[in-house]
Amino acid sequence: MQKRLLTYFSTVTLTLLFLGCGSGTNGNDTKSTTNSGVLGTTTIPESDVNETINNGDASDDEFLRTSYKGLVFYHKNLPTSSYKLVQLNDREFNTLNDAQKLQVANKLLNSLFFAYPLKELKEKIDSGTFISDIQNGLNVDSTDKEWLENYILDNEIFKQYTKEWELPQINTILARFYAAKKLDKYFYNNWIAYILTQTILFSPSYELTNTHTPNISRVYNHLVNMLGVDSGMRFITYVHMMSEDNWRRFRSPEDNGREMLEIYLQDSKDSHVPLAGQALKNWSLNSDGDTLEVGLNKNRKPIELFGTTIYTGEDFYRELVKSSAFTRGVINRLVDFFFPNKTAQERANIATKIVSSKTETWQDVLTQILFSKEYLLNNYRAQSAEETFFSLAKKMNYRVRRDGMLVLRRYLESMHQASMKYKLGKIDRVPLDTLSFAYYNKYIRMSMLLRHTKATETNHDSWSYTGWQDSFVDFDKFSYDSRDDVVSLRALVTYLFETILGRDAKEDEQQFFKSHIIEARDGKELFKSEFNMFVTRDDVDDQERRREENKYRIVITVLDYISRLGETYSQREVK
Amino acid sequence: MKRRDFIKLSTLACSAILFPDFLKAKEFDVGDVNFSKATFNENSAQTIIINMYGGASQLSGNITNIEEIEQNSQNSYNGYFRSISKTKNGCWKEAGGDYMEKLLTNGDMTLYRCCYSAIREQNNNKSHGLCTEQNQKGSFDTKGGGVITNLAEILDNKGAIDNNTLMPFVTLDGESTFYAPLNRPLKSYLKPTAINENLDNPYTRDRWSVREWFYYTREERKKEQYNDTDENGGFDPKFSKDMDTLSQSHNRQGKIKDAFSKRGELEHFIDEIKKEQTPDLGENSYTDNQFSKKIEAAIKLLNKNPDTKIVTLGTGGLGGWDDHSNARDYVSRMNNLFATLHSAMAHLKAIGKEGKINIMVFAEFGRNVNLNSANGWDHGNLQNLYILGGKDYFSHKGVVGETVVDATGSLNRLWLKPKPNTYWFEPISIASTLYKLYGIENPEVLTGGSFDSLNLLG
Repeated sequence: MQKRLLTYFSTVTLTLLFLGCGSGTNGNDTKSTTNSGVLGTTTIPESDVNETINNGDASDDEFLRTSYKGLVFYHKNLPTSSYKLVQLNDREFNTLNDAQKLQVANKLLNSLFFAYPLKELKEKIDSGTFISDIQNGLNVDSTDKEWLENYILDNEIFKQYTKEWELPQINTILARFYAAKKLDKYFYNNWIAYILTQTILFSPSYELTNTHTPNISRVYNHLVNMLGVDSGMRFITYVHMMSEDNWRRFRSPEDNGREMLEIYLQDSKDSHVPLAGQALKNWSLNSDGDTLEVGLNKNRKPIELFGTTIYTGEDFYRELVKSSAFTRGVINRLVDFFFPNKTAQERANIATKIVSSKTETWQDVLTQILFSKEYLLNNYRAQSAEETFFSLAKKMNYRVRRDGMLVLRRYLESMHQASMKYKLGKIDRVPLDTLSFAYYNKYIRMSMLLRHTKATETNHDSWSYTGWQDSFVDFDKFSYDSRDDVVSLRALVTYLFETILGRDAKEDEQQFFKSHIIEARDGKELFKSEFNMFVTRDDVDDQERRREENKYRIVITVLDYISRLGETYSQREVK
Repeated sequence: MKRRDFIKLSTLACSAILFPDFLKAKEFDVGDVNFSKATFNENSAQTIIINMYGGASQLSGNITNIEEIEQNSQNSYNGYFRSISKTKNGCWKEAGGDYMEKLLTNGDMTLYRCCYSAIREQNNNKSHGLCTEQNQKGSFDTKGGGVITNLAEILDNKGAIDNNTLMPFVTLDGESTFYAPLNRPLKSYLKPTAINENLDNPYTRDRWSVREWFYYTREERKKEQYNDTDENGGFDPKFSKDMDTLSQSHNRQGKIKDAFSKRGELEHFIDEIKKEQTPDLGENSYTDNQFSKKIEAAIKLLNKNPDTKIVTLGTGGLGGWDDHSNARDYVSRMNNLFATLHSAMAHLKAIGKEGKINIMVFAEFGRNVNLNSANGWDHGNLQNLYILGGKDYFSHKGVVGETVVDATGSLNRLWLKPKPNTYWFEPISIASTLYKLYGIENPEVLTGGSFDSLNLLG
């Protein structure tokens, strides 16, 4: 609790005091819409916090009530039983057939940028508590953060770029997902921050000339930190709106006011813009270092907005997040992001259900979406390149050389899925115009599925360091029968399909590979020599080498085919 | 536009509020569209649409009111921009005005100064998203498809283009709302093809990845150098083609399947365009920037492939137009834009296509003319429309429309508006003009209201 209060205190002071906001309104106080258990009417005096900590009598309840003019800072996540958007639970998951379970599990994990090797995944599914285990895991901190953060900054493993055009901040963020080993609370908070920064809600917008690369890590890391101390989504947004990061994106009082209204409330009434501009009249982005400057010439005339009276820019931001339209606005944005192919009416229905849950945290919004029946069973959408890359990497025991994250980031740009780049976020999360998709296909096909590496290659700078490793297709990964080539081929094909796509190969696909890889010989159906993964030689080493080579040819053949399937780049409904 | 027309349209705008369904474009029935194949064939038009995303200020093409603006603006134009010179036609010399004058003098361009929306004014709308969507769907009702989707379906249905038409619609800017789908499926060939200004070819599959020796049958392997380059006698194995066929049979209908189906064709298409050379344009040569490359690539493509009817692009490489602050950049950006357009006209003339190919340049809206505390402009409601080329079917008019300053007295509410009795039009008229250009005689069935096509068209 003490740690949480300290962290919280840092956040409050940084955001409110240092920005010169919340320092009183000289009698022009606004009407609070809610004001439960206010600790301080402006900021929390440091002495109060210290006293609370020193007395050691702080309770969660006390912390929970911490607010500023009715803006409550901290919120516990709701119990999932409070979610109004119907959730898929263990019992219903267990009634699905094996193929459906595998598909749902893949969809859920891919969405989270995570995966398990097939055998491990099937064990988790067979446990009978797959859904609740994954969900509960997201509430538990089990990552060794010290190790992880050092690892992704290790220049021997991930090249640490220094030039701004190399966007080192994004490379590091991507590396974290690639390197993380546990799907836990820390991972989830990072994932939430990543999702939010892809959208119009929190995009750092590095494409703009006024923004600078540190804005990327400032926005992202701030989100991770605030999520880590259970800050509510209103408070997180309030802090962000008042930041220099936000002002570098929207740079004049009218621009910033207009866009905040439109982004978070979906209020596009032009007549509200002058009111916002008036409240923000003393806020400006100074061209000297693109620095946010808040003057003392603040507005002192009453302005009627959000059903209340505001005066200053700080009032504007605070009352905006407190307004009833806020929750609906931001939930609409996220529903659009995850359900792009649903009709407007269907999306509205989903959003209405989430809103009616009275959620106050980003975790509750996103968890509710991810674990919903609507998402896991009925949703079809193109899969983002991050979802494909990070999940494949874990499934295939895939590794990248030192510049791997830079390569990924550049490809994301070519696919028009650039991370955190766009001023208005990813309006279309996965552009599928022919050119964008061609890059997506090329990257996954050439840099992942058809890229094999040998464990013996240890030079992290070597071109041949990147690729999936032999262990991905070890003989113990699939149920072969060395006396039956046809059965063994089928098993290997099934393994590859289930791993990558979450489904078995269909019969015509199995026959397609069989017709190319198997031949009739000596009255039997046998591997062609170049594919014979059971070839025998007197020399054991030679035999093993040849077997691996021949198996590799089968694997490449199947993976090449898989690279041409739309399912590799999309998430399907469960039929 | 005459005063009574102005009043008529104002009434129309009011009606839109009182009767929200009045301007709704229903999901159109192709049978309701009157199409003239003769017009389509006679024009044989090809169009480049340049969208200035962010909402470009109209001032580059119109500083006729600058003195009054200066008097009412929060910040001084003269103080901030230091030098604002007016050209003969009242354009902003430093912001592309000199190039505009050349284009006007040569009869290459019409500059419309009053693309204004009375309907948006009434509806309290100056939002990027909604205005872009309305312009690109060619309707104030945004439930329908994009302008190019509508046009594609009609041209196909009326037999003006068919499955053999190669890449009829091309984008250098991803899929914008121009291509928004209808509630019914669109044939794959009608969907846009995307390329970029460098004519990159990610559609190509690396040879080694397709010509793995173990993909070939023993029969195929009998041919020498079977998996070498084409030049050395190599060829793709049948197995790889069979993979494509089988995978496509499993791929569900939609954009991914369409993208896979176009890949092979595009691989060669782009290689062919790359071979196309730009003539020596002398002193009118393109400046070396990304936007110039886009225009140059678009013209090369249209010249090489008459099947392509419309190419859409943004102004990537120049920067965005949402100039809320530090508007000094706008001046050089506009100058670069018009330098490129000037070169583009020279390019069109050099290949003899200034009669067939036209270029339309517009944004989602124009801007407020108050130079604000951040030395920028907030959103506005009046913009310029620049139309170049297409001389076989367009009768260029020079500068059209006059503006007046509307100084409301409120902070940041300083506007340009059409002068009474001047020619003005709603932005939806741009869609009407495109539809008419390509043979549609009653565009009102698509636009959901009677928005006349522009007066330079016949």
